[in-house]
Amino acid sequence: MNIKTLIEGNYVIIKPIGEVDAFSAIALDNAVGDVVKNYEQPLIILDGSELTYISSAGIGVFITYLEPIRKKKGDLIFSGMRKEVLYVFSILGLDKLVVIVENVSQAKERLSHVKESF
Amino acid sequence: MNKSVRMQKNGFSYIILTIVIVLWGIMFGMLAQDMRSTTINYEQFPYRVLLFFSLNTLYYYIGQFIVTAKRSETTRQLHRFLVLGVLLLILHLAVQNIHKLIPGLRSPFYIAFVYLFNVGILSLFLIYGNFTIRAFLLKNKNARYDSVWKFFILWLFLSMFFIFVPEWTWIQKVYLGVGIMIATYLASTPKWIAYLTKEEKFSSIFYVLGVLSTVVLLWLSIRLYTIPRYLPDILKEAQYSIFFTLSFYFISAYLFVSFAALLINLLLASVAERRYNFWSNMQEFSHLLQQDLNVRSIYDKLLKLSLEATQAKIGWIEMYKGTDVIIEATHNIDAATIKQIKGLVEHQFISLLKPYRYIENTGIKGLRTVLSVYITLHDKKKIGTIYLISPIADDFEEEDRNTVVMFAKQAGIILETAFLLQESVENQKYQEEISITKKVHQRLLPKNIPQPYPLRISAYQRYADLIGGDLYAFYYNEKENILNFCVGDVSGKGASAAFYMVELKGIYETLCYPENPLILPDKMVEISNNLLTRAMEGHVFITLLYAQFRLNEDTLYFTRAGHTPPLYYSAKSQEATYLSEGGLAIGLVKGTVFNQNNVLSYVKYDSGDIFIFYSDGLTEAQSTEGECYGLERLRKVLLDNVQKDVYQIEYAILQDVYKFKENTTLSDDFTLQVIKVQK
Repeated sequence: MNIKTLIEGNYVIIKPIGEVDAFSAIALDNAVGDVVKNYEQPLIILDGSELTYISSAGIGVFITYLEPIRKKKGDLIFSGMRKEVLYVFSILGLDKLVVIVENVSQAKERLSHVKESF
Repeated sequence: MNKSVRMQKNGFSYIILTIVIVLWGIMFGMLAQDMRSTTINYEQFPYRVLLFFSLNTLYYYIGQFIVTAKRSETTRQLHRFLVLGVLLLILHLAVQNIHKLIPGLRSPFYIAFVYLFNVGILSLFLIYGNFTIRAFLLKNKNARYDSVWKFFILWLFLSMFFIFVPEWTWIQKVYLGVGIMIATYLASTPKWIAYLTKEEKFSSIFYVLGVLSTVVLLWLSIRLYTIPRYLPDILKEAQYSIFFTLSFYFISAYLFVSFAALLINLLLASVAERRYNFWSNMQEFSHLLQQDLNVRSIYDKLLKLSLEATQAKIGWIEMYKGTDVIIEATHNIDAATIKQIKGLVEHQFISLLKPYRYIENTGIKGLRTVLSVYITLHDKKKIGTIYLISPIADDFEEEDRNTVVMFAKQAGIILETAFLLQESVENQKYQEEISITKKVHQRLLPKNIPQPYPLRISAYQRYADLIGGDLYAFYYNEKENILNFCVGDVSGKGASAAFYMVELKGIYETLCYPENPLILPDKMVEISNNLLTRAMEGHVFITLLYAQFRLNEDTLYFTRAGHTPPLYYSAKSQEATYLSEGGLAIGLVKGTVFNQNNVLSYVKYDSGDIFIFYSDGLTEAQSTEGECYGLERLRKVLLDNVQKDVYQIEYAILQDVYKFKENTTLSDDFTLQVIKVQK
């Protein structure tokens, strides 16, 4: 697994490439954790377009940071998720907790509302 | 040697010393007596006897005395020899020249005394010298050499008998010649030098030179002393006697050769010393293998030895762990400088012929020469690098560089062993944890599965190497004819997962207790979430499915909280569908958000209907191509086997999964429960 972190304006795009298993979840944790720690209002887009598999440990990472992100009035939006990963999200009911959109530009639009409300 | 023995030996040596002094005293007394009479022809024989015995005793005494000295103290023995020589020389010169201060003293009697005194001093010094050198010779540890030495002292000893033969004939000449040959042989290999350190060699060369000049001075000074005509012949002969000549020759030859050898040795010392140090360091380093497999101390030792061998002033060791570079040991360097040097080394052309990288002059003041050597495992895998830096340009000779290469190779072997050991210790800990968790897990899973009519139930669990958190339980309430079934999966692995499973099991037990009022699954899940979320760590969550078969109503009520949707086959429609309605997994959110999404579902079943419950370990089982087993395959294999009983269906599914995954190992454990309605 490989993680690309892109900063576009106020948004941080985190793009995991490949499979997030129990071991690579640590890298994902670091990537998300850094943003949450260093930004006053973390506005994160998780670009899932190249994420092929996510283990429960990987999902655990999102769960860990969801509350701290929202406490800082930020948000975490999932975009362009693949069918398989989307299925895992929906089984766990995560789709009811987080915003899932089709692509990054939609995600940016959603986040711009969050930004205004801040 | 214990104290009493030493005391005895000391007492004994005093007796011997007294004998020598008494013999010499008698000799002097006799001479004084003889010189008082005017006759020139003295009776020679008593002098010969006295001289012979005094020499013999002295010979024996000093031989004993020096043999007991430690072999390793060659420099100290040289020092002692020199002090004795200088003292005797001063004493000799003082006695010989005292008449210049006291004018009336120059009587024949005084001259005779001086002469006798000189002979005494010479014999003491030469015998002492012989045996000092013997201690040096013993360094050779060579049987033949040792026997030659023994023969030589015997030869010397026998030469004393010539005291009784006043005529100088061919026999003495031959005897002397043979003695000189043996002495030359013995003197030719001063091996003791090889055992000295550089500093010891420096001090030894001065001692050897000092002793050699003392011996020669004493010899010449005594020989040049005018021999009084009126002395007994034997005393005149004494200084020329074979014993003295041989001893003098042996000592001075040995010292001369030693001096020359030391001189050459010191001139070539830098090379020899390094070679020697290299091997001793190497040996010391290998020694670590047996005694210390602490990885950190290996790094420290490796850096220390490499610095010593090259006389570099600065250095560090870095190790590679995955893509990380970890600085494990440093000497006189900071992180910024390390970065600077590494930048330089990485641009350096790598010679394929040389197992190191070497920059003769970096152009940076204080950091001119840089040597970097990889630490490799036996399979040539690079696990780290040693860097050595000298402030002087082109400071490391080829030999030094190769020494570090050898160290690095040796370190690689030792580190490999250390890593393996560490790994096996960690593995063992890990295995223990797994076996404990497995035991806990097995105890938590039901041993007997109830089979209330009309349900037929099979349950299967498979453990992966990494133990997961799958848990299921059946509770049958006979009074109400209700079967409660719950199945869950704790995220995460190992001991922490087992911990939450125990907690979950406790909650099941409490809520399903037969005497309890019947609780509907949605309420049950809600309670579980409230209870568990309180205790759970941020990243952990539990997927849960709570199923309640109300057998009197032929209805299944269930609530799915993030768990895999069960597969339902309806005999009537002959279709298999996943019952995917459900809410959030436990531990994601507290309170209202969870409760709002929590739903109670129900299915009215009939005879021939089948329910399949499974954990994600089954659907996520991967083939060699990395494809997941998935939902469709499961559905298909069920549809192909609907007529069979639960055990046969279970078997068919498992067979299909194992066939699919082929040789790949399961990364997750899984559970599978098949429930069929058979009226």
